[in-house]
Amino acid sequence: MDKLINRDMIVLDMEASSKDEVIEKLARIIEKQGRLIDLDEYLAQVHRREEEFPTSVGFGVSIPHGKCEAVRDAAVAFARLKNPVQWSADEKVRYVFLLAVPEKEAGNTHLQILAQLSRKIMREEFRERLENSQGIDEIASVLEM
Amino acid sequence: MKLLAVTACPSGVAHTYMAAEALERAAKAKGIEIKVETQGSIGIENRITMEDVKNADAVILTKDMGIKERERFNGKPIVNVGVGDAIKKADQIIDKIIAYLNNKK
Repeated sequence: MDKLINRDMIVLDMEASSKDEVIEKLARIIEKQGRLIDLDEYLAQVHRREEEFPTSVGFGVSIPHGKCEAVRDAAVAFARLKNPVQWSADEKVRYVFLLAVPEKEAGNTHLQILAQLSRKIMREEFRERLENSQGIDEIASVLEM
Repeated sequence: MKLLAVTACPSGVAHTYMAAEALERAAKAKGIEIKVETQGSIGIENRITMEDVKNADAVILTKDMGIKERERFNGKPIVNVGVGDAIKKADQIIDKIIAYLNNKK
């Protein structure tokens, strides 16, 4: 089974001026990995989810996600932004995890890993490591899933 | 003092588990026992039993999705919170419950 995230799905110091730009850049990375069936449909689903309720969760972290039929294989793309972007009316975000999950995910393995990642994000030690990691390799080992 | 919580969210992928973690950590930091059941896309985990309910002082339920088997908690003080608030304000939620339960004594 492919890993949910690999070196090519991590971007440090991403330059982006808006939330939409971050989401689109990360979605294109997931598409490049061959894990999406339809990029536009996936993006539409992610945006619908954001409109329902923004996925910023405090601590400068957001986890936009799309669970839909436009996803072929589960994936996570991560960006640490050069400058924070406005994510919701009252929150700016610097760390973005974009999740892609097939509508009918076969088996629980990936879902369990995403659940673990979600729990990790709530831990200060984990967030400090995201902040202080110097390069892609270091971040990749922090995000080892 | 013993608390119970059940967390759930529309896609069941991330917020359910973040809220569970946040509530567990906030309670632990205050030395309070809590058991959190997650109802996510993996299914129900860390299931709350009737024995747990019997010994519990209060129950926290997230309100973004229908909670399965909610009737288990009939007769217990129930606090309904948004899953986003459980993530961002777990501390305050637990504090409020402590204050409420202490007042009731």
